[in-house]
Amino acid sequence: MTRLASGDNAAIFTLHEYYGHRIVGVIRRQLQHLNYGPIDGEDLATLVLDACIALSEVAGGWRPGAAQPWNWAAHRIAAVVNRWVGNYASSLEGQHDVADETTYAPCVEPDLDQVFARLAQDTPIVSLVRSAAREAKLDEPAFFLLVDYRIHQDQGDPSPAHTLAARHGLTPEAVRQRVSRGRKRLRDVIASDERYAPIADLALVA
Amino acid sequence: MSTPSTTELECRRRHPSMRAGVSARRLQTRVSEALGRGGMANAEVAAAVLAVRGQSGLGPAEFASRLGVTVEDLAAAEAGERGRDELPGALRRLVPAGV
Repeated sequence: MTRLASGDNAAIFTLHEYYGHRIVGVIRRQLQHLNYGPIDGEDLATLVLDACIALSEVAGGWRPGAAQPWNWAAHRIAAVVNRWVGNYASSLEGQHDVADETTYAPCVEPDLDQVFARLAQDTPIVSLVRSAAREAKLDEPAFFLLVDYRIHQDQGDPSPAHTLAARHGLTPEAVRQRVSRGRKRLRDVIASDERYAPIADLALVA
Repeated sequence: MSTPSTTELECRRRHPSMRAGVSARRLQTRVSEALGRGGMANAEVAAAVLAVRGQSGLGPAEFASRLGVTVEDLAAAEAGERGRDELPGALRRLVPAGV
């Protein structure tokens, strides 16, 4: 680390070659902390490279006699792992192969309103939501826009309005307005009738 | 941090978590790209020489001595100041042809 701090570019290779296995330990601990499952050897090697580079960037702050570099900068290594896990995407190729010719329909009913009707029969909360939406005079497109918007928000979409605008044939501003109006109407109906108390805290109208 | 023994180094090379050869080449590529972005000429040559010296664990003076080159020649190579064909033979052999 001292050599790295002094600008010896070769030292990053030394760190990787001789102490990479120590860095692997820090990486695995962070992956465990994130409840991340088994990691592919290639991905682990990539993380080790990234960690070595991250350590080289802060080498100037390390002093001989301090903790071992990979422990001293464990938070930097953890950040490398966190970024990798956050960006992780697995290929879908092959995951949905089926062994036979059977095809699977996405749902039993041909349209969403019928899906919702079935769910409303099985689940009291869904029935209440459906009833409140009807009282709020939200037609099917308006209601499902509301649901879609909420799903995207929960999934971390930074701009659901932009994402949904094209899908629903609207401008992003129109999406926002319709969602805002729909939420207010649904919220007003829910607040005005004790029958809807079980769904008063529904995230859909938050 | 002392340099590990040869036996210890070999054990680490065989460890499945390290896959040393492939990882080292990838690190070399990353370092080469970073040096190039920093404006270094002959960044690939520099990265190749740095990689070999780094993996040896030796400082510049001792590495140059073992290779039979001057510290100045080594420093020039590692600074990207020379293309592959301009290097002394012992250093040129560390850099893949075509770089």
